[in-house]
Amino acid sequence: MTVTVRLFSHFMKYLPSEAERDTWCVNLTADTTVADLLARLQLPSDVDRVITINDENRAEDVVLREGDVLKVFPVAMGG
Amino acid sequence: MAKGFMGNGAARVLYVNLSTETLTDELYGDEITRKFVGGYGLAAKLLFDKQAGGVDALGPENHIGFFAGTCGGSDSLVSSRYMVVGKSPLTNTWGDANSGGYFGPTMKFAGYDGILCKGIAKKPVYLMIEDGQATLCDATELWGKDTYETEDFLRTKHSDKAHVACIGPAGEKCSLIAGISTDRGRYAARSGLGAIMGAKKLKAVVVKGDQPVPVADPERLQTLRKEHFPKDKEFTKYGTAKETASNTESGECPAKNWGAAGSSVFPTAWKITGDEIIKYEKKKYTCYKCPIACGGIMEVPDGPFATVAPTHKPQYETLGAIGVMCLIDSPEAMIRYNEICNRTGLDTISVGGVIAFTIECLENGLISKEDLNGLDLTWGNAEAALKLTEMIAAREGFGDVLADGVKRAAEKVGPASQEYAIHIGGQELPMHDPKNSNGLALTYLLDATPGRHSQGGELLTPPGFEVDKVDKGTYTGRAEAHQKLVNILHVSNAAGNCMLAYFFVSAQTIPEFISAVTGWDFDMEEAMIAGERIGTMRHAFNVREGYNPLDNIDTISDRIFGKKPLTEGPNKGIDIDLKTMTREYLEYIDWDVQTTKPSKAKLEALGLTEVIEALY
Repeated sequence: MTVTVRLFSHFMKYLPSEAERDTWCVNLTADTTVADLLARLQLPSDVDRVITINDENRAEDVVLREGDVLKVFPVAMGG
Repeated sequence: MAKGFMGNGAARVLYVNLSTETLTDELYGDEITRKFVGGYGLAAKLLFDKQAGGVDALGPENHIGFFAGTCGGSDSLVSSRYMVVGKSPLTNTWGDANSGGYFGPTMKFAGYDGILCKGIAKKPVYLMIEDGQATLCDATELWGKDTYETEDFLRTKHSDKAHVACIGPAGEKCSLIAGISTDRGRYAARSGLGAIMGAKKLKAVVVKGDQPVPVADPERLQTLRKEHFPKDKEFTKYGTAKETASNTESGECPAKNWGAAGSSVFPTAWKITGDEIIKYEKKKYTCYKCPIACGGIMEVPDGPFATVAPTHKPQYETLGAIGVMCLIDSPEAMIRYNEICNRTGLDTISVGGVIAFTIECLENGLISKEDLNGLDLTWGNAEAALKLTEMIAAREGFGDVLADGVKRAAEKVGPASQEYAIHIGGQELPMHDPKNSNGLALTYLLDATPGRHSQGGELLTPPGFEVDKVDKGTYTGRAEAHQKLVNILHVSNAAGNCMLAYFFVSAQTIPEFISAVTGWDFDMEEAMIAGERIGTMRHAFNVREGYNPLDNIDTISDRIFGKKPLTEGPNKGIDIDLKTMTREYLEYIDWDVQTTKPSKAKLEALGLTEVIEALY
């Protein structure tokens, strides 16, 4: 199945080189969870982050499905 | 006037009566400064004591105060900030605004912890403080000059070691969205406090001095500095500019005047990422002894948005306000916008808000192009937006209507424009949508300065500070965490700490740094009580003014808290349960759930007998 992964702000550096700017389209095996994918990208697990799938907030144990758009944000900052 | 320094947490405050041209010192021992942690906590106490309720914010009885942090001027890690205080003419509540740079520390090197000015000068003046000596000087030839020109003139005249806090033409014209500039564009921008200086004909305050700030335990201070020196390099590279595109995508940054969220309405948000902004950075800028150094000095060399002079890097709030709010995706235009606001003396958040408001009024036929002198103001039209910014600063044409903020502009345009006027209590909202960061709803509504993102809450959870996390969309069970976060921020503000560094340095160090500088045995338990005391004193100022923040709920735009929910994007369908959040919080902190007046028992517990006498 194909999933679109978008990492933002300082998380972008964890995307592979074939990603276009902040977006990476990846083929995954069935039963891949968000946590599995983020571990594969080596995104540090101790950094607070917000996960959305298709613009809905989701937990990291959710299993990804064909066509999902996964977005990962750092916790909001800015002043 | 005596020259000297107090140290050990005691404070010297300069009182200036501009009407009578009298200047006096008052000294405060550490019994009172410790109770309020000094800095802006002391300012809250003094303004409550020295000023009656109900005064005209632009009249002679209102004060404008400048307070350095308790740790300001020392080697404390991130304590460059100073706070401007007074009754806000924008909100008619307690007002404060905070800025970094060098002014705060230099005020201490010049011999003062705080300055409070009242009265109205007969002609334009500036206040000069040098090595403990304060004088009022003629500023007639400075009146009309922008902030860069004013600062250059005063530093050339006095010394390049002097530091200046001043207003531009917008403040002189009492624009209620005018701020106060230091270091050519570092801003105490919020609450419209620049208008107070304009009304008082106080063009600038200049400080110069070189006497070190006394530190009770220098060895402990150096150890703390070394142990907790932040290692983050991303923030040094970008500042908060790197957050704009990300926060747009997540729904944290409101888009199109709070009428939308997410990048579907602003697909070119990627053009304003941190990397796109810093392409124009010519050198780094660092506040006094800050190890993070998030600032930068920018130049746009040519084109329609060429800068006139080097200007500070626009940070997230500015980029969100003129960019995402108005759908402008040109870094050059946003840098030039920052320069115009910084030179003329305007708050970049508020101006972005009034421009977005005006676009919607025009789009919906509530005003005409002729009202805007023919300006083709549409979403994304940067040239028109910048021209309107100049009109606001000069109070020219419709700019005169906008120069006092969206609340007053909507009153003039008519009831149909209320939805487009995004403010709470008169203050334009910053670039954080509580539909994404729910806890901010409490801060926006209940802080003594309404509509502020930098006054604590779940958005600002520092490392090393344990609070219960509540999921987005859960509106119950937030009170305890919110109060703890608000309390620690009040203490951090009083210490003179930077809110941004707050993300990288453990909150547990805040009382430790204060102890090392003052010699107090100040711990987190005392910090929590002192923070609550500061917040309660600021709120008591508002209660005395007859202000009830809950009255805002029925008068503000339905967009803010989702009463009119968004139909698409990451904040789709969210309608914040404000009733539950506010009731639980007010009950928790023992303020009346209808009037918000703090209970007598709470005031007694905090030792605020003067507030009991005033309110009961």
